[in-house]
Amino acid sequence: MRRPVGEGQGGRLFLIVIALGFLALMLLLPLVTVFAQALGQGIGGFATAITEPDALAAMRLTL
Amino acid sequence: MRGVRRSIIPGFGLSLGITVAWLSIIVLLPLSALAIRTAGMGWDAFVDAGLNARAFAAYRVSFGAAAAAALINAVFGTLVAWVLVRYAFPGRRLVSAIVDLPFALPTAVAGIALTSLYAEHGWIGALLAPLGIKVAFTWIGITLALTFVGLPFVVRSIEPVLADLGHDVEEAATTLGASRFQTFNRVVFPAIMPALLTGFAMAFARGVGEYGSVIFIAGNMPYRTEIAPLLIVTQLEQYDYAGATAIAVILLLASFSVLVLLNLFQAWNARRVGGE
Repeated sequence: MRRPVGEGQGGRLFLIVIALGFLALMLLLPLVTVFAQALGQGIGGFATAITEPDALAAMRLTL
Repeated sequence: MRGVRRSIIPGFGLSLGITVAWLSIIVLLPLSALAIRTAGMGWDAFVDAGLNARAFAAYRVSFGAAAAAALINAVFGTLVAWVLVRYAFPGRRLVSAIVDLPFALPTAVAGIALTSLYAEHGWIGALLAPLGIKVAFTWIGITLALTFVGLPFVVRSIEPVLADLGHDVEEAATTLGASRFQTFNRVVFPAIMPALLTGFAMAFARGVGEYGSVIFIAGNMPYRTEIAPLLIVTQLEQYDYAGATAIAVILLLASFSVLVLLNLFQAWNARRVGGE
């Protein structure tokens, strides 16, 4: 939708890129790291870790 | 209620009673326990535990990093809120969901993830190390972790205000000859200012008390990268409950004064803007 008042195409793109870049660096990258580490030992390692009795009990309490 | 003009809305007594009782149990009771413990320890012991050089260094780290992180969030959080509200781009809803990530991710997990990213052999740390920039285990890392946990506070307080602010006021400003920058500076910014201050204050307060996400990346060197909440935990582990509460009281007083100052500024600002 084109608004009569607002930034031009270039300004808009510039702001979007800065905002998304900041979010990617600050939020997305740590999230990716978490998954990379969780699945670093393969799906098998991940499955054994979360089905330990200790882990199950802790998750039940937290949720 | 005799002699008092009754409100049109019914149930004032009941709702006030429930509100006050609930607040007392959840907020006031723990706070008064804190006050009682501190009052029992005597002035000298209090100064000794809460105002020594190591504690002062920790306050400086905690408040400095929290203020820096809240400032970064004020700038980028406003930008993110603006982009999310005003512009349509593919994946906008997904981005909006990601903003809440710091609320959803357990803080300890976030701390470990940030540390492994910014440590010398991490993905980003390895890029910065040749430049001589160390992030993990310095105050930069602490600020980074606090920026991570504080971002949603700023974005989520500004977003609804920005969404409610109609395009018509901006269009009116433009027809009156304002440039785009003047429109933002004189029309949009004053409108989102109270929300921005609220977001800043919440991010700051959260940052001062933040523990989980910071301890991994801080390095915890006394006098240099030791945060005040860690000092509290250290005292507790030594069964020094009085010492821990002394530090907690000082943190609380300092945070509270900052919040009161921000509120006073906001009230002053509202009068100034509204009274013109």
